[in-house]
Amino acid sequence: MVDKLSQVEKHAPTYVEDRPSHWEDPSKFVLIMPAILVVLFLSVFPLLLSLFTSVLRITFVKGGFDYQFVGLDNYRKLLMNPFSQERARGEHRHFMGKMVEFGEISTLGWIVMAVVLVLFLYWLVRFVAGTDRRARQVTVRLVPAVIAGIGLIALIVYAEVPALFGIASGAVGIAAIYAGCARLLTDSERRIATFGARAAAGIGIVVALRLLSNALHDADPSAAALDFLNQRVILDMAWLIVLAGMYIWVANYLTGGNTRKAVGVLFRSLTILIAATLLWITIRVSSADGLPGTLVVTLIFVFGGVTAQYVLGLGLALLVTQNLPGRRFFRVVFLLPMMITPVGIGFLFRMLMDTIIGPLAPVWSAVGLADFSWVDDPSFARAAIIFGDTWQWTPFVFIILLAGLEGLPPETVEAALVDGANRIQMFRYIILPQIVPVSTTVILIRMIEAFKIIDMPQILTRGGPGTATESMTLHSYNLWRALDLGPSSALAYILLFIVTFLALVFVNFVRQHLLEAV
Amino acid sequence: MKKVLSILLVLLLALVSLASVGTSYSQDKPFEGVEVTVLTFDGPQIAEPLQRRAPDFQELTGATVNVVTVPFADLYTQILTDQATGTYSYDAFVFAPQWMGDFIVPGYIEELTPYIENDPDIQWEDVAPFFRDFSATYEGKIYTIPLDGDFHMVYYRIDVLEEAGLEPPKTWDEYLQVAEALHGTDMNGDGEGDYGSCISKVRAGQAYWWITSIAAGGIQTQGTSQGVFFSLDDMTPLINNEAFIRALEIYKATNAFGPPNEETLDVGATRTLFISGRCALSLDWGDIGSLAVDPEQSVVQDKVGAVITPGWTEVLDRDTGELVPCDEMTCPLAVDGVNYAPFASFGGWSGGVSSGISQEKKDAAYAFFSYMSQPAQANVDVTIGRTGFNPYRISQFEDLGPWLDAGFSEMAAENYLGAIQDSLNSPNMVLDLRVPFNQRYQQVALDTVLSQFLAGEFTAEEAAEEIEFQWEEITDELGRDDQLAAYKASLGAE
Repeated sequence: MVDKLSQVEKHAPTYVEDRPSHWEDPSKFVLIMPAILVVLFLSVFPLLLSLFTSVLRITFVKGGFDYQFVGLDNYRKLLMNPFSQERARGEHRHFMGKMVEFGEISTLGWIVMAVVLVLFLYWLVRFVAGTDRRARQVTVRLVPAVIAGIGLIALIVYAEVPALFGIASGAVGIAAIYAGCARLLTDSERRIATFGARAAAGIGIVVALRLLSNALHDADPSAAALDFLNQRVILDMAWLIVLAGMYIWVANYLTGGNTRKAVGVLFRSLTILIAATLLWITIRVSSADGLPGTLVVTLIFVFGGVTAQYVLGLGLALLVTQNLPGRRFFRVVFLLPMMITPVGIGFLFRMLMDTIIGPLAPVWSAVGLADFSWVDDPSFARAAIIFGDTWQWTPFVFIILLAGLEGLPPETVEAALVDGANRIQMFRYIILPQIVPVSTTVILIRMIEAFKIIDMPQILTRGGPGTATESMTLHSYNLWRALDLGPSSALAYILLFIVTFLALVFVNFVRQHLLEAV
Repeated sequence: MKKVLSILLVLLLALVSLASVGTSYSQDKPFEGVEVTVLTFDGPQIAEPLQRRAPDFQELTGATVNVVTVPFADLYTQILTDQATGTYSYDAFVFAPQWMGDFIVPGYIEELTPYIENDPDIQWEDVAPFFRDFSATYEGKIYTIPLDGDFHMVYYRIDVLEEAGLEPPKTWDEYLQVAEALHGTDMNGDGEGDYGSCISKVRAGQAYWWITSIAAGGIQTQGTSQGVFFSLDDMTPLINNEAFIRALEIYKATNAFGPPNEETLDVGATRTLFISGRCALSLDWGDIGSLAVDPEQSVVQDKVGAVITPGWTEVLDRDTGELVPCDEMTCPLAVDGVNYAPFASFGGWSGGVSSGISQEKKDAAYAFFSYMSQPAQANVDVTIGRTGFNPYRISQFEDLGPWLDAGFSEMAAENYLGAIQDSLNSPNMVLDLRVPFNQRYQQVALDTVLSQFLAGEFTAEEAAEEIEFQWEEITDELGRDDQLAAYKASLGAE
């Protein structure tokens, strides 16, 4: 199908080439350039300003503001537990949630984590190896090898084997794992040896630099290398750059000198690292004694809401394209929720959900829920938020998918009908593949939007009960309202990072994969 | 056509300028043409009397008063950012006087001492000393005009308690017993069970003060200057101890006898529930008293009694962090073995004038607050429930006339004013937190942890630890010595 479409594009007349380009018509350039500069300035300036704010501690004093540079302290407050041995507190707990210890993670949690890690590994190996068969072979060998390696390390840690012996056997074990896999990936004995050497050298350099950086920091913790960034931050950043460089250097060999591919390996590894960390946090906060922080609550809103909106939106769009009576009427009715302001919807749902004085109170009491408060229960409160969000945003998904469906060429459907396709086959093989591009676009837009949800929880529950429905944006807003501007900006930046990361992953990996698959 | 239009326009302009010349030099309207924008919260209480009296004030002085409202949780930030950025969108503010330090130190609000000295109409000596000397004053200078008097009290349904043979609660244990005994009783005759206790517990509303009211009787025993928030030695929060943890447990225990959605109710909603006859007990500022006599809203006229906030029979030993029984040493101010500590929370809505505006506007803004506070207006407003204003002038306690006019029976008025006066005259009255950035301690840290505690995210012990941790973090960030000095100064303790 995709081939067919691209052929059509190839044969389309190219009007653009007939026109003079921008360079031949300098007046356009002169007129447009200032506008572009203004827009660039307007979009970049607030970003830089809030980045600057996120490394400051701001106080209000006579005649304006006073600020003090605190490095990455605002980020540390959110991301790190200040008391690694005790339970989490303060903004860290608020943001990351209450994470249970390893021993308390449920069996299901472990299984999900393991399965996802194996899938990630397979995905990475497949990228390096190029073929499915090979990727399977490598993964099948790699998984037991990694488990054995972890087992070995655990044995060393818990059985208190002498350190030197432990490190030596660990190194031998890891080298064996690498050799086993590299053999499959590279074909030649000599290359395996070189690869092993490169990997060892890379790890060595990275570890040595880390130790050096720690030693430098310990020697003079207060020294500031520059006015703007403190020494520790510079060292950490340099170390991260070296780490990435080493990674590419090693991966480069693995991919047979293809640097582009090696960079691909680095980015895929980073993706796995970040996605696995998010999953790991989610699993730890959703175990029996854990409680999600604003990070995981936001993820729940995004994935729960967008899934529901897509499924419903697609269903409604398919219904409206059928020859049903009143479809024109419903096409308008389905769009109405999108036109209402989110705050209005928040109040609407707050009234509907009120079991005591709301307009639906008789209904609630008729079904035996008169003395029930949905807002007392974290899961129900979150469901209510997702419900309200879905009510509002399904129309958006609906209208775009409807446009996509109505734009489909009727010939393909007619041809399938003639060939005797049933309804399910028609949807799966004819319609779905053609609306994948528009579907992925609408999901991407909704996903980016959903991360920024604030109005619904603020109006409906004010983030309650406790912090059960507090999204990251609401959390950032609450900090801002307390004039805690530094941590508020830091949180906003973390959100920006997560959104950008997930959007990039979605566009580069998920969308691409879907387009290839159908 | 164009010509005709332009002639018309010129004529119109001429008329307008003639009209303005006609009035703007009138002597009896000193602020003709001056426009004053007042910022307060979106009550509707508090904003209501300001909006209602603005046209009268305009009639009198010529000044136009616009009242702008924002949600309570945004008020502090709105004032601070407006002033710090020099926007000056607002000329005057009606706010919690406990925040005034944060506005006075950077010079955002105008000192009002000279204005008051030249204004006999405001009858400053008639304002009760507590509001005059504490709420309105900072380091000996006056910065705000009190418009409202604030004390926490417990309200009860006289008829319901009598029928059940119960006395109004004197301690928090009794409060829970009464609430439990009456929970589920039909109190408004609709055949449905009602609630034993209604306390607003919403997050980001005005609900974070109750816990201090509950805990205070167990923490402050030696009089007002002892304070309930921090240790006077080193600014350690008085939070992670048996008394505060017990208070948290009591706070949560009241959930069982309240409406199911108590955690989403703001104080306006619990007041409505109370005056619609659905609650036996409630903890509130002075508002229920005057709302209960409003025939349009209330079904409990003359059925509402008020008592001083319940106390404790065991109190905190500050050295050990444990509870010890009340005796002459541990609670010298106890009455019949019960240590009462009524909480002057919030301090009463007060008006302050921006220092960044023209003198003409400052004068007009001051004149408006003075007008609102003068007995002729204020003594009527405090008797009206929907104003949100509670008594703060001596004449308001002494003269029952306006109260009777408002629909109070003599008994109800005496009972209500008596409970406020008991609190106002208590030597163990509790002052609200007035250190710099108290909003971060209370409105942010305390408020969030309380809602997490109610939602079951923390046990009482964990919640106390968490509040202590966050308060300590704020204190360290702002400077422990400075904060301690400010705290001591705010209590008048040295």
